Amino acid sequence: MVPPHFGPQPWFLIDVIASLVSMLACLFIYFRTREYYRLTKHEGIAYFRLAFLFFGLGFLMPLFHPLLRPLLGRSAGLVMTFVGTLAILSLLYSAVHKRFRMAIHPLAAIILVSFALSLLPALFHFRAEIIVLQGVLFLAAVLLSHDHKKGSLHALYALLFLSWLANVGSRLAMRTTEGLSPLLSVLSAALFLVVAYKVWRSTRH
Amino acid sequence: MMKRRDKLMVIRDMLGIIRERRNSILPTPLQRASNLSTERFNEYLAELLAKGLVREMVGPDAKTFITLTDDGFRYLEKYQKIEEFIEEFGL
Repeated sequence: MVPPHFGPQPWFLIDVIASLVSMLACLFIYFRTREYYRLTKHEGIAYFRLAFLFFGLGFLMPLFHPLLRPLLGRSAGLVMTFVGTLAILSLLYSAVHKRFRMAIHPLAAIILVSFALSLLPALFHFRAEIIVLQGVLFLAAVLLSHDHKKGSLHALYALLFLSWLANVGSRLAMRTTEGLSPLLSVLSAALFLVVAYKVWRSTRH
Repeated sequence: MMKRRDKLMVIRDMLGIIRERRNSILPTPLQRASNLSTERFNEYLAELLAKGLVREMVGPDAKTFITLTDDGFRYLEKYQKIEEFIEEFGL
């Protein structure tokens, strides 16, 4: 008879390691671009960095979910949706800030919209709709970033979108197909590493 | 027709002029060499001071000179890379 296995499942460990790698890639991008922002105070760089800071937080939070859940209760999901939406909207704004003037401070608008969107699942049980909406916003960032002169940015945002899709897929698969979840997490981490590499290449001395 | 300079380029040009003049220049010659209107020059100068890229120094004859800070030199050193980064990531 096979003895019962009480330790963490290998797929769970792969998931955790992939999330850590993604988080480190995001933090690397955030800190690597710090000097460029400090010298220029460029709005695009500011929101690009913020997007990766929030993506990093988004990867960090599920790791602490067992700790957050008792502390925040059902609000834990709300906080995660909030952080995810902040990241996507920041990325979207970094792509459109030149063509878009806001009446209020862009960060305030991003926080307000993210907060409103994160309340929807809690109030109306719109969980799936919010994921679709986040996907649409992300896709908008991909499409709006399209520059006819240069294809690399478009490819980068498309990579990020794929990575986000892989990550969402991984979370959904965790509930349905356990074997698929680590595969998608690893794919997501690999894509974030590609973006981090592109940033490293552009900022090396 | 001359291409309109973007903000980062104007800042690079202003800092470059200060460096060329042995890191010390009066506001009026800087404005002339920067090819900016008085209003735009004042806006840019205020921005450079606020960002800590230049500082004002009072000379022995009580005239105010503009000089680069360490960050000003660093900006000039990094300008090309920053431009490439902004272009590559479409920011």
